[in-house]
Amino acid sequence: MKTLKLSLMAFLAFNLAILTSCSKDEGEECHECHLALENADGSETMWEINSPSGGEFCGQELDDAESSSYKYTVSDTLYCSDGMCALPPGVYGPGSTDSIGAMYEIHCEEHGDH
Amino acid sequence: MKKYIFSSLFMMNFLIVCCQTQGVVYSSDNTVIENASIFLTDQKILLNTNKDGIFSTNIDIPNNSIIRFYKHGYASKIISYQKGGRLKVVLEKLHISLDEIGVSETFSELGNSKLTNIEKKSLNDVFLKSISMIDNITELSGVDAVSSGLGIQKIVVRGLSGMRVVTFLNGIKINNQQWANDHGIGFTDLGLGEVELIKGSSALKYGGESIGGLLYFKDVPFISSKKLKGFFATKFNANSYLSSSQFGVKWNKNNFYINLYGQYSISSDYKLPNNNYLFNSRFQQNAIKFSIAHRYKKWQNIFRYHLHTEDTGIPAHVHGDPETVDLLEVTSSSIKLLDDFKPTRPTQFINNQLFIYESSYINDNLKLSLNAGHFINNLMEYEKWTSPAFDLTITQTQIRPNIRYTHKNITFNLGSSVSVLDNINGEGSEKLVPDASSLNIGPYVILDYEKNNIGFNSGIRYDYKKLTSEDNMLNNSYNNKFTSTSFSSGAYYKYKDHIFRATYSGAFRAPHISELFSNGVHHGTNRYEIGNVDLDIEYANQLDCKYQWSNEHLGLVINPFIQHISNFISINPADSFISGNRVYNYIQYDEVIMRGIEMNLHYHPHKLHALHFEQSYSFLQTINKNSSYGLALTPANSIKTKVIFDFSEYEKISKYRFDYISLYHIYKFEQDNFAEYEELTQSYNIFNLHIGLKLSAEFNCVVGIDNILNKEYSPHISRVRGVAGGVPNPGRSSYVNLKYVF
Repeated sequence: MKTLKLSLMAFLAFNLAILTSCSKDEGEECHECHLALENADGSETMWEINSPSGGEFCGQELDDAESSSYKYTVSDTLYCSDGMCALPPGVYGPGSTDSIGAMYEIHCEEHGDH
Repeated sequence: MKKYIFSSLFMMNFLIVCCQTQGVVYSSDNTVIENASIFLTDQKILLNTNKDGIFSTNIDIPNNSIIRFYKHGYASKIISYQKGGRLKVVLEKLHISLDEIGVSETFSELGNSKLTNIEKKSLNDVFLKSISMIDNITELSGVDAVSSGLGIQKIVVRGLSGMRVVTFLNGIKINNQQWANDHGIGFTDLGLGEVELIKGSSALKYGGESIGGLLYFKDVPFISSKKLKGFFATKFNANSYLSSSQFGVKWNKNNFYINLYGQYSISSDYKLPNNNYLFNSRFQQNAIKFSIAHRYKKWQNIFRYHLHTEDTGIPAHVHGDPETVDLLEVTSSSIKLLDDFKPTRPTQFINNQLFIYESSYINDNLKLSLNAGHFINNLMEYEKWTSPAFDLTITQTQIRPNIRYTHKNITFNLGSSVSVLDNINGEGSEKLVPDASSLNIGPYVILDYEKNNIGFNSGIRYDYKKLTSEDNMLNNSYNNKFTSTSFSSGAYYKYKDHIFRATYSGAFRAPHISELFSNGVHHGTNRYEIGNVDLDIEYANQLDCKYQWSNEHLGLVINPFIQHISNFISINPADSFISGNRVYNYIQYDEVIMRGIEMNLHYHPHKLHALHFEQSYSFLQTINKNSSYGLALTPANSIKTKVIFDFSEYEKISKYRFDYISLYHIYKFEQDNFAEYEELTQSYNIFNLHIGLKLSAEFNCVVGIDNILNKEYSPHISRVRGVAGGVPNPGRSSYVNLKYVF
């Protein structure tokens, strides 16, 4: 009985630990973003991009990247995830004044196998 | 034996002096029954018998109040209370305990269960005994679930779901944006005691629009005890690292009764049979609810509050045609426990608040009741991290007065439901449905007649619905009225152990604002949906027959039905894509026929009363007169089997704390009757094993493994059946559930 009680206590403690540790908000959100171009069949081609401070987009940078006026300057040619499509230097994103560049969207959502 | 009866009678005499109502509950072999439940249904208060089989209460129970006596292992009994006499109730020992077999008398909020096909499922210990409440309800024949893991689940009744299956919680309609399959039921099993279900269009009293069925969830009753009672329960599921905990307390002093509950649940992504995880199938749920009742003479007032919040990931989100993506694109090969409980994108953030006021007055043959409720649902759907794509708020105020008058064998119900609903868009960057308002008024009258072994009922309801929208997203403002009449007539006849019942009913459903006005990307379904303002009401007529027979060891139910639905509203895919999503248009089919048969069998061998064998069969065929294809989301036919062995009568085993063992098997047939944009779904078998342990009188534990064989399957009505050729349901899931009662 004693062992049983100890096991139950351990189980309760384990569950409570999951509840508390997994619901913690650990400050500023940071996420990877990519330029996305919709294809004719609805699928999209993606090019990973870096934030102005390098790497993931955090805080205000993330706010800006997801706004409808954001434009991203590509200075060196980017290659999509399978390496088969090149994106030449230019200004891309919904805020781009170039009609072609404005067709590109900025997506910061995650997909599987992250 | 004589000693028991003598002491019971002695106690009875004493109690008559100090209490207003008392009684004793016996078994048919004249032994007293300890811990039998006495449910004052009109007062929503639960009493229990003591070790001498006696119950007593100071509650002034008005004449003609309905009291239900029940205990596991006995046939329950209902009486209409009359003052003055000592209550002596005898419960027949029963080996067949399925309510749906119809051997027990039972009280139903939805109406007379003899005259209407009402099925019930106890939810008292659903947290302890099941992996989820919805999974538990789907054990009923003809009931399935549209789901994508445990996060998003909703009930399907005889192939219909969404707006066609209406959900009530303690008498108030729940409007959790159920027009879309990615919006779940909107509450958990917290504090619930029972669910009643009407299949098809017979739910006259609670709605003309429930042409597919009606689910009525009820809280557990109040207790009449000054001692604080309650429970703490917790569970862990290793498949998705689900951790969930609940607590509840009940208390009563004088004329006040209080129930209070809380819940916290968190889950990561679920594991598929191939050991990958369905990305973003995670969720979190928090809930708190309380009910306060006050009785004064013949008046009773109850106030209930329920807050439910939910962060639910929308799994299998893709860009482009979902059918052509690879399963690897929507799954992850591993879980990072520190990160993969956190909401990602896209995610729904749901906040539901429900305020309910119930008032009732009972005087002899008359019961006046009033249910008033206000439901606020806020759904924010985030595709981006920083701003919501949708921010929809529904507020619905409902009032339902009812007069019940009983005279000899006739019960007469007259009432109405009035509701005002507003759908308002907040700060979302997109708009799928416009701001709109509706007013519904539905007066009804129902007459029940019962005498000896025969009974019939008849009722009629008139519904008026006014729908308006002046949203800028519409080219012109919309102002339309939908009116129609619903009816239901039923009869039953009991001959020895045979019960025959037939119900013929008709109901209508006005088109929903999403069906009329949608115009945008619906991220939860990977569709660009376009509504149709020309849609008209759909009307259903159903004939439902039921034959029940049972003896001490065998119970049988045969339930054939046929339903005609005219102007059936559906959604159909087009060849084009907008914003990376396939376009779907709302259309209306001239006539749809849904017919089938449901059967239940409950058997236990005479020499092994502890062994129960329960089996249900659900066969459904849908015919679309406008197409050679079937209807979308028609569940495959199924055979559900449950074998339970109860160890409580075997001391040699129960001393090792084993309470019961159950094996549940579901066989789903191949589904070759599908819509144009669906695919054939193969048959499959699933086995679930549960072992109940009674660790002490207060402490219960259930360990179980669902999908023991780790079968890879994607049900035909899975939310993610159309993604990557069918995203599989969870693989093998082992879990431990604990409940401590005090």
